[in-house]
Amino acid sequence: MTPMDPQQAYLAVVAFLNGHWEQRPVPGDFGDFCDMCDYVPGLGTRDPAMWGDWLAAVKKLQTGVDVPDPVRDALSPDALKPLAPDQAYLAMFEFIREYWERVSRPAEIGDLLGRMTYTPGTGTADPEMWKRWLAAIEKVQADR
Amino acid sequence: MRAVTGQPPAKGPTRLVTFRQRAGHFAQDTAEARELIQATVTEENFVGVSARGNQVYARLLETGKQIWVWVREGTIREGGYNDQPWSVERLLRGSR
Repeated sequence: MTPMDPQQAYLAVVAFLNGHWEQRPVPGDFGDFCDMCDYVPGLGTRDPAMWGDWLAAVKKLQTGVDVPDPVRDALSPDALKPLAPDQAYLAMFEFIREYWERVSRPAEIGDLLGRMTYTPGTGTADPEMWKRWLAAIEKVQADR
Repeated sequence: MRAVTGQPPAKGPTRLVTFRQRAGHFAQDTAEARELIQATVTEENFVGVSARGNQVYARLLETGKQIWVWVREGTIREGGYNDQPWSVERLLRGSR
């Protein structure tokens, strides 16, 4: 798999989230999160703030800098480096974790994060998560 | 404000994501912002039910902004605004 630019990586995040939703399509906190994350190239995310939150997660991973909320809308993907699959996964984990914190830690999303926890050299706590992530990347790269 | 027929007025919003200093969000949790959100939840502003189970409401302000609100189980889950109004399809379906 080739490295992804931040937009491609975000499309893989959306594919991953949609795949998880389809496993259990019950309205709730996770469905709300998926709705806000939906992305249309050229138009942006359903919740405009989600795009900036994603870029902030990527920047934090790549530079260690935590971008404060008010200036995240000014972030540009052009200032960020391409992401290998494991890097994009870690950025996705941070992106979801931050949302989970922001909405008072709903159990449904907390459970997902527990399954997603990634240890270098060992993999994800639930091996199925990594398989689904790679499948999401393949789907996005095949659609290019 | 007229509530949705047969239902009590929606509660909330309760989540912090509704109020952020970000594009599409109300910057602060004020009575005015809550009124803008809650006054959108009326029968005439009902758009439909989203693919993920939220009742979607939207209305245009004189400024051209579109206020949108998600309600589930009688509680406002999220609300915000679009500088450029979105279509009904986009409001309900997102990118899927």
